[in-house]
Amino acid sequence: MSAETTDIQKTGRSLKEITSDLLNPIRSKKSSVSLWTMLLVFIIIIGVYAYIYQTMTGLGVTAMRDYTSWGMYIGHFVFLVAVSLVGSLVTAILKLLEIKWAAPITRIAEIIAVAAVALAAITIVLDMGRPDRVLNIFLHGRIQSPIVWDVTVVNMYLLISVILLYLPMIPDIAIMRDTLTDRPKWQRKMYKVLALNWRGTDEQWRLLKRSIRIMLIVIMPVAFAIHTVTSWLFAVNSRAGWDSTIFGPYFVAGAFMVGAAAVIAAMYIFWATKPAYKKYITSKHFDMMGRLLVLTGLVYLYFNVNEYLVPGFKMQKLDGQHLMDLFVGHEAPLFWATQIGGLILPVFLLCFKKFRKPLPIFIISIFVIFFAWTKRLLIVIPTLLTPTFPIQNVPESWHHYIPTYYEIAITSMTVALVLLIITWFTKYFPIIPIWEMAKENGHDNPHEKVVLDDIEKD
Amino acid sequence: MIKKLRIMIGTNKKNILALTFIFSSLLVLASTQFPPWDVPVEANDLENPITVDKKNLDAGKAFFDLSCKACHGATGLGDGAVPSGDFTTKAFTGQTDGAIFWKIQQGRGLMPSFKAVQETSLWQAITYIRTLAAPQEIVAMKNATIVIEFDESNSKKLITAKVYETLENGEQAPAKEVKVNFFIKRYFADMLIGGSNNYTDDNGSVSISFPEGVPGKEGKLQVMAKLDDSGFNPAGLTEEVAWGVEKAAYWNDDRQLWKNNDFVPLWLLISFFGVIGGILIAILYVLLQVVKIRKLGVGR
Ligand code: HEC
Repeated sequence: MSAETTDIQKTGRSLKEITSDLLNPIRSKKSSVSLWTMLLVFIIIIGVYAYIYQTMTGLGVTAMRDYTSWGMYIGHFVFLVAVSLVGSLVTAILKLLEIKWAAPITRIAEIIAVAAVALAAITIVLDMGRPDRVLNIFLHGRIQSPIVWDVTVVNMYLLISVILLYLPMIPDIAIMRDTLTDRPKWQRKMYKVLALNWRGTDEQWRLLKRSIRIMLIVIMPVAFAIHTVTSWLFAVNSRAGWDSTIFGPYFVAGAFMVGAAAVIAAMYIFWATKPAYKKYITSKHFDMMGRLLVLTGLVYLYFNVNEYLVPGFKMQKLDGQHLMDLFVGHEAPLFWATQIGGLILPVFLLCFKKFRKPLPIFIISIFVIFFAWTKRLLIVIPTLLTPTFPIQNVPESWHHYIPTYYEIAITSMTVALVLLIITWFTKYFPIIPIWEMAKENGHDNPHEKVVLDDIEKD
Repeated sequence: MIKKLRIMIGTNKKNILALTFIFSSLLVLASTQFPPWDVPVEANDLENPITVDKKNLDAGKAFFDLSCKACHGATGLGDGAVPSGDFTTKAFTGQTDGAIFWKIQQGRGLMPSFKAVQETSLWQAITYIRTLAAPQEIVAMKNATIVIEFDESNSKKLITAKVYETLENGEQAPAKEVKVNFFIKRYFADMLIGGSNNYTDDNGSVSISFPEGVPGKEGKLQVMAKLDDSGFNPAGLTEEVAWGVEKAAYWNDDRQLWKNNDFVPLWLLISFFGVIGGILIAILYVLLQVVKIRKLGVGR
């Protein structure tokens, strides 16, 4: 228990201890294909098969029809964009505010962001009947179209996220370049290239810190833009449920909430599976992230109240139809499960310290993530099924949307890919920043020399 | 679980045979036949209220081509976009008009329900569907020519088509009771004007009034008259008439949100590329720093 609760700042661990703790998972000589990876690859293979079939047969294999022309894929896309926003929340906001406790979890947040936004971009392509024409968006896209803005900003965010993941990692990569000499040749070569001749000189530190700072500032507006523009894809249409002026902040608030939950879930998995990490990710982190989840959850709740209550008070014709469908109609079970299980209950429970302990908060976070996903579906699909003109003279099945196995398989593939990217990343890079931990423990300039000396001594 | 399955299937070859049989027969069933419909007795006895004549058949064909052809195929063989049963089989023609009417109104599976459509249209469609099964009598198609006249004399714009059929001796005679449709050419589909129920009179001529306020470049419109009659080869004529209105706003060079990339509003152009440019400059600057960091470490 004591190792778990001690404040990391005061422990004064030696550099050697820190490096060996954090590089251990990369050093381990265990067989490189775990059961977990195999499971993910299996899901991906099924998804690839489904996708090939979909591309050859056409989008008819999905449940999307004339009315529900955006289905699970687009809902899932919005979800992935939302999750990816956490990179900027934890990294940029907490770092710029110099909130020290967040240091060990910034990289977790960043790799989640990179993986999620990369797959978000891919998910858009998966939703295309003619993916070979994807370049036409760039060649012939109209700048007036929010879709073009969205494609642009998603790619920008991906680029910035990758840079922001990489920059703070350079000193760590240099440490690995110099210490992990028993690795395969390609891996040593990769470290050598990525380490950029890092020697930890004062000038190098100065340039690196300035670059990180610039990126931290740049990622903020882009992060807000990515999810605001994603919300505009809906809000610029005057349709029931989308015709809202608060969609931008509503989406961003929701994204911060699910993002925080995603970090907690990932944090827990690293915490639970790698004993050495327990020294760095402590119950304090779960407690603080829990509070952050409550805060973001309350903001999101506030937006939800506005989003549903104001049109609910007016009950204009189509809005009313759409809302009744959500409140008491066909969508009601999912809607209330989402609102209560994914928002009200988590916020309420996490107000108590008991529930901010690692395991309870992990379980709560999983619920938050799952219901954040259903929430995105509830934003996209019911509106499409409430068109301005009544649905007439079409087959019965067009009145509803129930995703087909193909859609489920392809969507699962993207989730598996997100997890696989994170898994592979942890195989080759330390998920907890070494040099930042060193700094926290009073080793002010942990450049490679110190590390080497320290390690060679024994 | 898996073991159990294996015991169930693997140890008993008869089971496999039975399963294969069931599956293949299901497949065959699914691909060729639809389950029978439960048509209520009252519906079965309902009688077709319309008479079988040229006008009704024409209207039925028009409606069928518009609403049913895509799935059922041009000749009702069920060879359209979805497998949908054959209208020429004995099993189909053996049923009453009332039963067919009920099925069309009801719909099932991929067959939409046509309850919202006027009943007359459905009866006309049924009358037409019936002719699909009957072997077509081969009639020599006749040829005709069309002349369009525009008349503005009575302060009302009137467009008249005169149809002359070519007789066997090569002479031209007015063609009576022939269906003619009028269109105005638009960007995409042609716009039908004057309804779809215009037949020539005894002089072979048919007139409709021209709609007011149709926009056209410099007010010019391309007007078409087309023969739409089962006894004649297709014939048509397009003429230009300056009866439209010039809508200046349609053709100007203003920058607008709804136009193409050549007319992007300036504020949008500046903000879009301004934001992208700003971000790219920041990224470029950072990349330069990275290059510098790399250089600093050389040779140490
Ligand atoms: C979207 C495709 C589609 C369209 C459009 C469509 N149908 Fe159908 N139709 C079907 C299918 C599929 C079936 C077979 C349904 C079944 O038996 O389960 C069918 C069955 C029928 C039947 C019953 C056939 C029988 O065996 O008794 C009739 C009659 C019929 N259609 C008439 C029409 C008419 C008339 C229209 C146009 C007004 C029309 N259909 C439009 C797909 C379509």
